[in-house]
Amino acid sequence: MQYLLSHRTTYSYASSVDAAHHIAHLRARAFPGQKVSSISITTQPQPAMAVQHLDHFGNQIDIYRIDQPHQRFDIEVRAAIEVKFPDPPPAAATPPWEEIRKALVGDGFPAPVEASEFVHESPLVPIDEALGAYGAKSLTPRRPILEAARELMARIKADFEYHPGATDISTPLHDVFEGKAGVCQDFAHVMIAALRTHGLAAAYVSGYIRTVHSKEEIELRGADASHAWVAVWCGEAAGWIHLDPTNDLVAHEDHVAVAWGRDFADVSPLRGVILGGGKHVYSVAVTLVPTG
Amino acid sequence: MESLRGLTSSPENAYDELVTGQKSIRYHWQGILSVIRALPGGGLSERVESARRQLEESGATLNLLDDRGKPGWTFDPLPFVITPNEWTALEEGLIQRAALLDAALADLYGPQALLAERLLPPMLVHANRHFLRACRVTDATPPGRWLGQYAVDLVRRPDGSWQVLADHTEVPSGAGYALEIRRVLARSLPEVFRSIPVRHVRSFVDRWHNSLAGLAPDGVAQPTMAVLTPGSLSQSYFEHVYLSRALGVPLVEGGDLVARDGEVLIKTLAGLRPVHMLLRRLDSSFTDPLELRADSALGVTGLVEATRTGKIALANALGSGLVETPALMPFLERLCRRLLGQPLKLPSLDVWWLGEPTAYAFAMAHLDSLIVRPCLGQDREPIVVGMLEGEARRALEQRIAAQPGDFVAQYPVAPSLNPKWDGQTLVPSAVVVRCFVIADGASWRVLPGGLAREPAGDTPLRQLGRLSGTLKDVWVLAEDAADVQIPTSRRFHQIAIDRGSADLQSRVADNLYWLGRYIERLDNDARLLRTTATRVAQGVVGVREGIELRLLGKLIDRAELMPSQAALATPESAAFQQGLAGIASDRHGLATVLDAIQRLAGTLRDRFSADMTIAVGPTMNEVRDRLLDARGNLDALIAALDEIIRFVATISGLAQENMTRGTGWLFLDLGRRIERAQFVLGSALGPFQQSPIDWDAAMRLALELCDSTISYRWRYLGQLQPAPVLDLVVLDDSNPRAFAFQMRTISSHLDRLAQASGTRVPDLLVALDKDLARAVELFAGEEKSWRHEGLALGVLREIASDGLVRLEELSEAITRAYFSHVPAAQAVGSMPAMAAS
Repeated sequence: MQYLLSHRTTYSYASSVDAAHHIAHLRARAFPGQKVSSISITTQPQPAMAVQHLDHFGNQIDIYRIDQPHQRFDIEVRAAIEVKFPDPPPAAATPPWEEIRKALVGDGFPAPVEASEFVHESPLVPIDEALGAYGAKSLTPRRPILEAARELMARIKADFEYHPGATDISTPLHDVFEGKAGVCQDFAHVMIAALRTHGLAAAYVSGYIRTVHSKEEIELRGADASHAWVAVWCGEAAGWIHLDPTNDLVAHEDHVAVAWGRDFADVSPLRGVILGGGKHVYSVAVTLVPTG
Repeated sequence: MESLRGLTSSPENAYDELVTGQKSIRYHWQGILSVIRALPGGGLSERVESARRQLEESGATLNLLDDRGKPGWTFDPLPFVITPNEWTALEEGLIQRAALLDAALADLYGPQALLAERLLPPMLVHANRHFLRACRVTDATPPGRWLGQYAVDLVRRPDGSWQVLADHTEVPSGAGYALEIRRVLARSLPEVFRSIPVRHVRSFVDRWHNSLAGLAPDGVAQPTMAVLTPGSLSQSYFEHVYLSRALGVPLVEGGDLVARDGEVLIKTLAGLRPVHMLLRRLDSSFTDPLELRADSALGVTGLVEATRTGKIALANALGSGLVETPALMPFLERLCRRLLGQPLKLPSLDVWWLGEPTAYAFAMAHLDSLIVRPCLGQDREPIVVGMLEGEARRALEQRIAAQPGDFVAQYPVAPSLNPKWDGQTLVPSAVVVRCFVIADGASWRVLPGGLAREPAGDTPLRQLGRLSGTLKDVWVLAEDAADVQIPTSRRFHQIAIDRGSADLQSRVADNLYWLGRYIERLDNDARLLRTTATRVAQGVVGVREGIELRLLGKLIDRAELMPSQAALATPESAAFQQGLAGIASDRHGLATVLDAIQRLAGTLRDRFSADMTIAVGPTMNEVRDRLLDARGNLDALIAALDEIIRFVATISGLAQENMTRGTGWLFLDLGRRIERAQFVLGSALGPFQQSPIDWDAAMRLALELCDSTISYRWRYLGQLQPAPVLDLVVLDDSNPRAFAFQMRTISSHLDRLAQASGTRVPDLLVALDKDLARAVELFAGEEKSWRHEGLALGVLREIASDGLVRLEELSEAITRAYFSHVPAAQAVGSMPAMAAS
């Protein structure tokens, strides 16, 4: 599926900002499931400095410095992206989850090294007993990893209420779990914690999901904003499988990935440090148009 | 598991530094002991006392306070001694280890071949809180060196060989303390240094300066350097000040710096000046709120990006704490062979990383005799398993079983025993030796000395990062006399002579200005209170005193030195007298001024001479104690106020005679002059503002508050008339307490600041003296013409209040022009809905 993307973020400040630095994870990365044929970012006001780098995870980052006083900051990314995640293998054919874990522990020397990074707790995803117990219900002995992970995803969708405003980024994951409500990033963090507590590797993926406007279809949650889901390591043969616990979906053609890391903190789309500004409000507008 | 063999360390068989197995004194100690025994007079005890006093006065013992506010360390005069042969081997081992850890950092923040080749468990990187992903070198310029400075804790094993207890790579502290302890010891025990060939450490500082210059980015002919400190509340602030002075580079805080287009600049009076090399004493994670900890107020926004451009170098590079984990130790031997192609020369402590199943099984089977340490998170304090009981012990086992890779285990360490002076005699005590290594061109250099420490607590592994317990000097003995001292020629950069000191940081200028204001305010307040207290102390309040005291009460109220209802009560009342007796303890008034002086002086410690440091430190504490003790006792209170006035005189004298008249001094003095000018117009002339005016009282108080009574008596033989009184306290610019004197000085200071910095603040006081002269002239006529409330008084009042407004405006103009009052930084974008859906 091919898409045209426009993602615009606006900060409005109560008083003038003298200078600002921003760091963005907004440039969609390319990988075997995704081709990025064009991508550009514009900002208003114009930055005094703009640089691009690759981060530790291979994501693209943009760093901006704005040195003129402003009361409003706009940043817009436009991109043409083609998505086709490879079909996942039959869930029953994936290895038992204990084998995956064994390889990831590896007596101290795990295989593969890259996947093993996503086994450890991270700033927003602590190892948590209650979440471990939650995950254990799906991780029954010798169960194929993808089967277990898909069931876990389905349970999260069923057990948690999608409720914007129920949480914010400072809500500890344990409280999200107790409250059984949140937004896509909470759903993703819950699933990641449930898997990592059992020694499995799970990454946080930020991106977008296609909006379906037809009346007959159920409108998929998370439309017209950024989205987040989970990539689960399913062994050397199957690799990373992208699972969306907010919608109980395996990513195929409706998900556009931007960046991945251990949790939201590694890949937050836009953050910054400003001088002045007072209180601020921001708005986000995403349009993801399928073009064939 | 080879490392498990042959481990039988226990305190009983610890190596004795003083006595051999045959119970004879080791050769190198014989000479030292004979000199110490022959010390004249009070012997060693007296010397120790003098050394301790010097350390206290230098501020070395400040900040390193324990929970009860006592100095966290004590000093012992008996050194740890290393013989020449032993040192040669040790030095080689230390240099190799520095090179090894530097290479390991370059790999782990770069290609990570060590992980791919299975030489190092990836968890030691990925789960290590010191692994800062933002500092991973992907597409940018890697740092030329990761380690510019490195400290190692060593112990001597029972068999006499050396073993590394800990590596300090994040912020390796202690070298400043080592150098200071040596300086003090050399002054306290010159006899010993005359007869024992101890290698000198002074030239190390010169080396260090060159070393840092060598680390600066390529192509910078004369790199600007600075020491980056978290600030005066930091535990080892003394050392930051010490190093900045010894190296001759400024001490900066994050707030003094800005990052711009890959460059880092210092905010100075003359604008932004680039800096190329930072000796970093601030923890990496706090250095950049943009890419590292967003909640840090100590860092520089954009610093990480600046390091990527290679235009700024940091020693140590950001993220260097990664290789501090003791879990690295079991793997260093193979890392050394892989990265340096050599066997490891200096063995580490025998620790086992419990992420390896064999180590885990062994440790769990022998847990009671082991020490366990978390090795990846924030908390790395050791747990002596044998001391745990019941529930605590089970909880530990569960923690280890859940995350074995988070722990290392080892047998207890038995450091060697070194003589220590307990006040009467020598007693053996366990010591850990800290050595220091710096980058030196393509190689490394080791400080021929160090810092020995008798660790507090049940294991030397406790609080490894802190300098606590008993500290002592480390002596490296020289082969022969030629080896002692003689610093080799320094690669000398021609330095331009600089007297302008426009490089003064804006923050420092700001603090000096306010220190000046508060010191002067303290003086004014003390004079006002003393004037009041001496009148009350006379016992019976007469009519004349009553009027004066009522006027003084109003001034005291205006200066907020007493609660209003006390200050404005009648002088005979209990409320007034109690208010006066309580000025020392009140949380406003004098106490807040003293607090402000202490706080500002603390932030400026790096700019003060030793005498000034003592004045604003111990001396000021005495003054404050005296004041507190005087509560309720009027005579004691007057004595305490006298002491405050003398204390201010001491500081003034030091500032006047011992500070160079650079921009820093100008700001300090400007603060004083503006505050004093306000005092003259507001307080000393205050009684002239009262209606109806009591002329005699107003004139007497104006003279007394301006310390001009004697001068007046000399000139006019005591007869009080307003024109000569006002002339003396307002117009006479030869009287350092007169308003005109302040005005002239302020004007000249503003000129000099404009020349030095290129920024001019207009002299808002201009012509004020002319106006005042006009007013005073009106008083020169017949008594009848001024005694009633007429024209003269009205004009004087108007000009005085106009003057006060202009002084306030001038202070604001100075603030705007010179002090970087940037709005507070705030983090944006870590909000929920940013990625929420």
